[in-house]
Amino acid sequence: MKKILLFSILLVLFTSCVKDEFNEPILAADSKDLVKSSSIVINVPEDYTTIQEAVNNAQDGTVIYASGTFYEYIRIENLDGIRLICKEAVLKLPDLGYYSRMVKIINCDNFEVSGFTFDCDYGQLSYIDPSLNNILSGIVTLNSSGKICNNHFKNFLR
Amino acid sequence: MPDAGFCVLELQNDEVKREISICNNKIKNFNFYGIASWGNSFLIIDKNEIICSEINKYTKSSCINPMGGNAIITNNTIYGCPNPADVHEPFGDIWWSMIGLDINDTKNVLILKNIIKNCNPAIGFANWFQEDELNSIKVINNEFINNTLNFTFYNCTEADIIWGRNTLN
Repeated sequence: MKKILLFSILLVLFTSCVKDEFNEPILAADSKDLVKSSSIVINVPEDYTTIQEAVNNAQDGTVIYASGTFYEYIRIENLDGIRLICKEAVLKLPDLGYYSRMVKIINCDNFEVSGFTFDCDYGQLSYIDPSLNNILSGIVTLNSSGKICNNHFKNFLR
Repeated sequence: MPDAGFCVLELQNDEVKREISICNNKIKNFNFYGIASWGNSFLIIDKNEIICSEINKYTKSSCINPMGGNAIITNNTIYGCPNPADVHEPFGDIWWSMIGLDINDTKNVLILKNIIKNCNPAIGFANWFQEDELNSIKVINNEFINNTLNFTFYNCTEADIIWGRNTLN
């Protein structure tokens, strides 16, 4: 009788442990590792010809490596943890409108932009907005957090 | 929002405090804003080289302008322009050209170990919109070289700032 009682108690304890294990959410550290290991890496121009195309196909935590010279404006919106990392990349103006933002980052937490050269030399552009008050920015962030490091910005003369 | 010219880094924020680190960048050849923020930002600006090359003829301009937010500004080299005294147009009753650090309505700022050269003024402190908007402002261990004016004060005084061991040339 005692053996049966002891076995019953052990069985109850075991099942409760198993149940707790299944009910317990994944540990934070494990989930972070999971996110890290599942981060998408996109190479430009190997995977996409433009950085914007890469951004359009990115998700939270995506790392975009870019190399080359790019004539484009980039808009990044609602992506957390996105990293835009340069491997010898130069970003140049495609044109100059009234409001021109080379990189605009909206509602992104923990973003990173690093290693780029932003060259705003607009002397050779085929289109320049005739307004005297056109506004140009290298990077604009709106309600975002993150870091902007190791970049070179030049020729922002109006 | 800037109203004239080209702004290299423009950081806009609402009332939620968000942190942005700006480190090890080179910002050269600009004549409006180098780094400017609006709203409740928390900026860490460290080890940047910020070199303006000419005076803006149309409006007040500055190398760093953390308007309304909070900032830690350390180890930066800030160079205004070759002729900082060459002012084209007065702004109100103060004659500015390229301001090194434009500390206006900024809540909390630590300015530590920066080199500020050829600006007018090197640092402008201002309460524009509300009295006593400037909260904790510390200026420590910085080097000031060849600035037309080192400091200007608008609706605030030297006594509102915590000073320590700066080198004035």
